[in-house]
Amino acid sequence: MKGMLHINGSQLHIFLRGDERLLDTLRDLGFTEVKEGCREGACGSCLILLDGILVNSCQVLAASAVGREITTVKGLGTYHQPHPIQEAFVETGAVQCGFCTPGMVLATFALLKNHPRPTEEQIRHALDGNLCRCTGYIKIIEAVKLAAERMAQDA
Amino acid sequence: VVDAVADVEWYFPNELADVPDILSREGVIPHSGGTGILWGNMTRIRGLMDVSHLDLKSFRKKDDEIVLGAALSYSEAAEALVKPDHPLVQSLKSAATEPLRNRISLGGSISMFPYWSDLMGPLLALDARLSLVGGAKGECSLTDYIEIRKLRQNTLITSIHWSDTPWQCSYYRHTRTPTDRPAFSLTVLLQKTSKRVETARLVVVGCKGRYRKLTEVEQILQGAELPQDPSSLLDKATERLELEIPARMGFSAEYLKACVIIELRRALEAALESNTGRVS
Repeated sequence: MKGMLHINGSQLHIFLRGDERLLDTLRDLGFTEVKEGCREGACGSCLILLDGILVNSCQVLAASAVGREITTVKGLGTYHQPHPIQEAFVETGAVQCGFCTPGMVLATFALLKNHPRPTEEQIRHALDGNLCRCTGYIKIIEAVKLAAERMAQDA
Repeated sequence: VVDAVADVEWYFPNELADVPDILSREGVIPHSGGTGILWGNMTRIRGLMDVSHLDLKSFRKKDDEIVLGAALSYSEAAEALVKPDHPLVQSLKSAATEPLRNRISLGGSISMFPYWSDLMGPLLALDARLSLVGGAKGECSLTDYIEIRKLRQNTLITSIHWSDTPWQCSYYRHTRTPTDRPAFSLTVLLQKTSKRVETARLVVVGCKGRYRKLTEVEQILQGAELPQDPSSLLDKATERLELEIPARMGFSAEYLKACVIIELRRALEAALESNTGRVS
């Protein structure tokens, strides 16, 4: 089927197979910041925002995303103009191998949109779909707290 | 499996009136969140009917009934219900993970009903009813929907509703880690006066036959006077329990049954002793 995908503000007309997962579509289109991990919706490496809602792109059939707004981590900030969440992750040492980081950053973004001053319990609940095999999560939680503080100040 | 199948056709109806015709086509099933479809075997699927353009995300209170649109995700439904102690909210918030809770829909979850379902225990205990269109239309009880195959064929669930009665309640899921699928889940709903238990509804999901309403225990509890020490009542209630749970996730069948009894006692003890327990 033909369809238009809105990705990070750009519009792309593409052909899709009816059984194609959004993760594969995005990576084939060059959005390799969307990482392929478990393909089971368990690890959070492939997280994106679909109409602003955090979802596992490996658990979304691409055809159901036609006409909807897709945001990957590159839609939040760039190398030269990073998002405060991305800065907080770097500053607190919440990035080691970096494979889980795009998903962590997007999960943090989705959390802070609804809860600008989250409790530690809310942070843990919001990031329960993200696995990290390096950091042990302590630094990641610190990064979320720092980002929340900075974003609240900016607001 | 998904990558090996022939192409799947998609349908995007805007009106409920178009649904029966689409679902009558061979191999066409409804698609809401799609997570269950991706977990299953897609080789028999010829078409998917996306329900996102239908008005199936509503939440309303009608008289003393709560009505939830079947396309609501777990997160949306939990947010709409507001009450944090409602058994359904407890189950929806503890199921899967945040991004999956944002995607899994109520209707899809009911139609798939895996043994690890967090949703079904509370809905069965609440005696939920479903509105349907397609192969079957009108209303039916959730129990009938599960038991009668014909009600599920070529059918779309449009809403889920139940009576908004206050309950003393608890929800327990048995897992190794919080994001595990539960080996079993237990829902306990109780209504009592200062003197006796009025109504009890107890449901285990994950046992043989996927779920069981523990009517033998409910019968002992209903009408029972509230004792100073509930131990003897709980002994009597749990002695009667007839339940088979298959061994799974590294747990033996005997161990899981013992866990059900322990958790059932804990839940009932809290509900019987507390005047300030969870009331939703």
